Amino acid sequence: MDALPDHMRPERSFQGFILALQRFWAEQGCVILQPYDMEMGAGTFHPATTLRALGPKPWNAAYVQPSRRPKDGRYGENPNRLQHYYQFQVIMKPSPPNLQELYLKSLAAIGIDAAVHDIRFVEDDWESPTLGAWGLGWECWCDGMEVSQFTYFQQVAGVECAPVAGELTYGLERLAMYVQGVDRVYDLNFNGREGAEKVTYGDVFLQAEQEYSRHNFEYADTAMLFEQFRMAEEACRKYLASGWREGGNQKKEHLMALPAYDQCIKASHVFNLLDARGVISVTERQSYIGRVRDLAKACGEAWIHTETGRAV
Amino acid sequence: MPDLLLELFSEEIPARMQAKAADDLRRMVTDKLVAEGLVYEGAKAFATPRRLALTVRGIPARQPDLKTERRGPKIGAPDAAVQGFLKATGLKSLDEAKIQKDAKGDFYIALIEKPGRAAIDVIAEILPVIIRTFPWPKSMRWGARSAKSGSLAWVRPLHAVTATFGLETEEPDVVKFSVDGIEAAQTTYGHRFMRPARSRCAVSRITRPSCSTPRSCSIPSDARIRS
Repeated sequence: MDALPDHMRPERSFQGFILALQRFWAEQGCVILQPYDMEMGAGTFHPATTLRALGPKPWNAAYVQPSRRPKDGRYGENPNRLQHYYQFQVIMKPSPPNLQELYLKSLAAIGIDAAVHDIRFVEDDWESPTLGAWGLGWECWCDGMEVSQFTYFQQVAGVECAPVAGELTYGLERLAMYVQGVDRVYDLNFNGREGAEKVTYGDVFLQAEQEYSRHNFEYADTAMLFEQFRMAEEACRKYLASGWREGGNQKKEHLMALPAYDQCIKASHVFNLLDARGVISVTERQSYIGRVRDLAKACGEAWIHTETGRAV
Repeated sequence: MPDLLLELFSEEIPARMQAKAADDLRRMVTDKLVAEGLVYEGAKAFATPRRLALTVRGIPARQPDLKTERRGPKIGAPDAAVQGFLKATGLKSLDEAKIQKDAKGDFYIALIEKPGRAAIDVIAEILPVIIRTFPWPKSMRWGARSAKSGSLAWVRPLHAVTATFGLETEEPDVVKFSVDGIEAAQTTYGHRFMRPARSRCAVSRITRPSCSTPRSCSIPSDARIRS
């Protein structure tokens, strides 16, 4: 850490903060992935978590995932709420016995010393109705503020996790604000430079927050979105149906779980946009969530019949 | 008489479940002890975010011997009934049986003596069953063992079990059992932040922080929150 130039230190720059987390988890044996190239509501949707959590094969990965929550946009006027923000996601399967210790060490790596700060693991049972997933764990508090979620997956995409994977999700902006000591997300120092060279989170994202809030709440083309939802759902089912093969030893195998799952991700995001536009009634809402969950479950079922997802 | 010390060391137990879990642990262990003829003097349970602990004081070192009578066939009953009676009771011949009269006639009676077992052996059978059937409102699987069915479910991952049995004045014995690969032992772990070292339980008591008895158990400070 001492060898780092000042502008790269996790408490000085948002990018240095992300790099410090990546480096820490790389040292724990995780593959460091790049964000998935689709819009999604949370890092959990990344196939590196959703699908890789299934099946018996070990898997350790960490990545940043831009997360889109169309409803959370506030036209750039709220100091904490964003319709686009970053999650840092870690998944380890099977969950190692010292996962809590590793998490605390990762906090130390980004400048949060557990001997100085009040770190707590507070009950939080996680459930994703759209993913057909649930797990038990905690929200992790630092001095009374929720900074991460820690979950032992029990079931994902309707499939029992065997073995169980441990999942960590860090809210990056919130943690970085805490470490940098700023009250407004747009004031985060992004590149760690000062004076004329300084780039803030606002310089990078404020205009986007304003524009996307307008889009999400007022102008997003709902006719197109309804059509996109329908098309994604149909395509997902079509790819799933076409992917089954009779494999060797009379075993069924699936050859297109990933492309099918992309359409499930797509449907989920389109639903979130429709929801933000206020064109989905309360009763319809449940039915849309159920339709996405059905896709997720069918993708999970396909995945556990692929080379990577199946039992040996 | 000897004391039992039990500590179940896990990851953070939801706050709303801790007090009831301590009560459940005390009730389940003491009910089972009494059912096994081990009448104790007193029991106290403790809970912290990462521990459920229990001390049971004054447990007899052995179960009492059990004497039971078993009624057999009538005198003069067919040989098959007699043979069945001998086999079921372990008697070598009818000479070892008593004869009892009642309104319906004379019957053979077998006196069966079952010697009591050492309490520590009985406890070693009781505890793993209680751990496996503990009534958590919600429980979970974890780690590599969760790949197989039948792996232990606990409220959050269970890491260590401390179980000792012995007199306060002597080095206690470890109650030998294991649950899902966790061997009961005599070592516990300190507070996550305040005192992370491992420590050894010298006697089977959880002491108050003010108590400086030299041989007191070194269960770390967070074990005392609810004492």
